[in-house]
Amino acid sequence: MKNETQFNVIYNEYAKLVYNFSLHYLHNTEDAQEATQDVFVKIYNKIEGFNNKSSLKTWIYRITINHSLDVIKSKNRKLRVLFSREYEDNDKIDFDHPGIKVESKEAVEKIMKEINSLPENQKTALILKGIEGLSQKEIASILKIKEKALESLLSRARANLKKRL
Amino acid sequence: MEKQLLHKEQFSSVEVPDFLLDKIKNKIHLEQKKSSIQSKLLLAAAVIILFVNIGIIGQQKLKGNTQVETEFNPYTTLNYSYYE
Repeated sequence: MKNETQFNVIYNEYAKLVYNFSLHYLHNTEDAQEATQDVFVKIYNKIEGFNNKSSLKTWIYRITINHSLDVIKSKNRKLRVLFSREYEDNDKIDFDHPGIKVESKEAVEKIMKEINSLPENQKTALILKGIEGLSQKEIASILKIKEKALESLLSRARANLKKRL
Repeated sequence: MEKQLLHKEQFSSVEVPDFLLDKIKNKIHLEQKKSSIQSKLLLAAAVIILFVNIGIIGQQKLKGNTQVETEFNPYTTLNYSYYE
C-alpha cells in the first residue's frame, strides 16, 4: 500500500461518518458495510488527486453520496431485470437501521421510507440537514449549490414529504 | 414536518465494525493485483501487435522488391525496334 499511515488516519477520522451516512441513505447494515468498503477504496485511489479546493470532509461526503446513489441505481436495475416491472422505491426497502433509537423507531422508519421516494437531491439535502445536522453552508458546499438554492431545495423537500406523510 | 419528526436526536451513532478495515485493505490489495495483471496483459498484447505489424510490413517490403525485379515492361523492346 502506497501510504498506509495516511490512509489509516483518514479511516480513523472518517469511517464513522461514511458508515453512518451510508446507513441513513441505504437503510441497511449489509449495504452500508459494503458501501463503506467501496468508498474507502475510492478514497485510497483518489486521495493523491485531492486538491484542497474543498475540505476533506466535504470531499468524503461527496464520494459517499455518489456511491450510495450508484448502489441504489444498481439495485433498482437488478430488481427491474428480475421482475421486469417498475418498482416504487418504498417497495424494496429491506429496512435495518441499527442507529434509530427504539422510542421513535416506528415513526422514523416511516419518514425514512417516504424520504426514499423523494428526488435524489431532496433526499440528500434532508438527510444532511435533518440527520447529519450539517450547517446550510456545509450542505451547499457538498451539493455544489448556492445557499439560496439549498433553502428552496429544502423547502420543496419538506413540502413533498408533508404531502406523502 | 421533517423539522418536527426527523432530527439528529432520534439517531444514535453506530460504531463501525472492526473487521471493516481489514476487508478494505484486502479489497485494495486485490484491486492492485488486478490492475498489475491487466497492465502486464496490455503490455504483452502491445508487444504481440508490434511484432505482427513488423512482420506484415517486412512481408510487404519483400513482396514489393520481388515484384519490381520480375515486372514486365511492355514498351521496352517494341519501341526500340521502331527507332532503330
